[in-house]
Amino acid sequence: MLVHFILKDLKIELRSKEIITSMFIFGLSVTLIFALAFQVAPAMIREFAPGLLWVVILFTSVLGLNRLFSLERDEHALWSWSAGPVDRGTVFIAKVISALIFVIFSEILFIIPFFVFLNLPIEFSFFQLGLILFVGTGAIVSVGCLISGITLQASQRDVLIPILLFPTASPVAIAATKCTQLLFNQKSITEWNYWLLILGSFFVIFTLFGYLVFNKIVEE
Amino acid sequence: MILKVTTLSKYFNLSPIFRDFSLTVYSGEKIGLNGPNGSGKTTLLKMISGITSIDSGEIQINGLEVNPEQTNSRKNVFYLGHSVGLYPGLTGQENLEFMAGLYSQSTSTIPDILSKVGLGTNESKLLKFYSQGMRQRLKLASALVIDPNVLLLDEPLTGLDPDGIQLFETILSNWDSRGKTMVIVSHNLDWLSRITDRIITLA
Repeated sequence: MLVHFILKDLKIELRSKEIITSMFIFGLSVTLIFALAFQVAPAMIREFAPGLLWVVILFTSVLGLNRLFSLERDEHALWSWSAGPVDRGTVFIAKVISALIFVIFSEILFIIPFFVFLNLPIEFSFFQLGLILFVGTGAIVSVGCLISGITLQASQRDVLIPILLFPTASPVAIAATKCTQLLFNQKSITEWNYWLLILGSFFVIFTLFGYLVFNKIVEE
Repeated sequence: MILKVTTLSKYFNLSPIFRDFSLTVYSGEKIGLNGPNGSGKTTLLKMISGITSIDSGEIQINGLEVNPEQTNSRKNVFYLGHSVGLYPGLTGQENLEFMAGLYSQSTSTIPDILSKVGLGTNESKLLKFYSQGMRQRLKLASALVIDPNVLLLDEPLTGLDPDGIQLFETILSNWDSRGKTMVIVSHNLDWLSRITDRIITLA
């Protein structure tokens, strides 16, 4: 059933390309604005860059999550499974995985322009950056999916998602920025692994919490 | 008995829509639900199908309580609502395949069912390009794919042309002959009294 829901989201996105295109264009635009606004010394930009990167990821995630959950609202498509013999927690896990795929794909697209436009030196392990991006993005989308689920039936959901998500996800943004900053400063993984553990904990806890409560929060 | 609603209560903004409402529907029975706008017809169907929560009381289908944790209770029920309840970004055929997957039904019958409801030539068209009548036909098609024992039909004739109404009545008589249990909401009292065994009017 999990794969059934993920494939459905992928099929719709593959056809419309709405989510990834909008996230990529938005991410690229914000990167360009940052590149033009922060014309400072290279040493300073290296200090700012991790924070800017996670601001871009957080903003683009909101855009993607909003659209991903709108698929269920359009024409009341959620009735198809909320009235069916489906474990609704599985739908939540499927949404987290779909969101993770979409956000990571858009990150892959805008991360190269991010380094090019901000003129950042690439003197770190790509694998470690990938690990931070994966766990950090997972933490953001698990929190984001829970909030998107809670606001699914709300009339002001477009406004509510960022209002609720930004404060809730701020510990994630701080931990992810710290990890990335220490990585950019070529520190060993042992110096920033506890920040990574915080991100991982958010990812697991919010995914499990969402799985348990999604049953109730999607009811009208 | 297949469907039992016991002392059901539901409040919207502290005003009661249902207070200690009870209903028993027997296997193979066709019940009509009638009443003015806002009397709770749609809400009742949505509560039976598990889409809307209840404040107190109990709903049982085949002896199983309808609640979010009890997925088996929703296995033999299908709610055909006001909205199409399917994905606009998928084609008619893909939507039916998705529904068949949810209810663990075979997808081999889908082309025949699409032809039967008059959508055979529109199977690869995206749902968002369907007209209101075509959407209603697709909803009927999803009910045929799932083939549930209990059908909750909310204004099923909305948007259907005369051919569509005739098609719906043919399907309805087929369901009736196969002993399906139906709860049908309609404002058309004459039509409802013609096709159902008894009518319940909600105040």
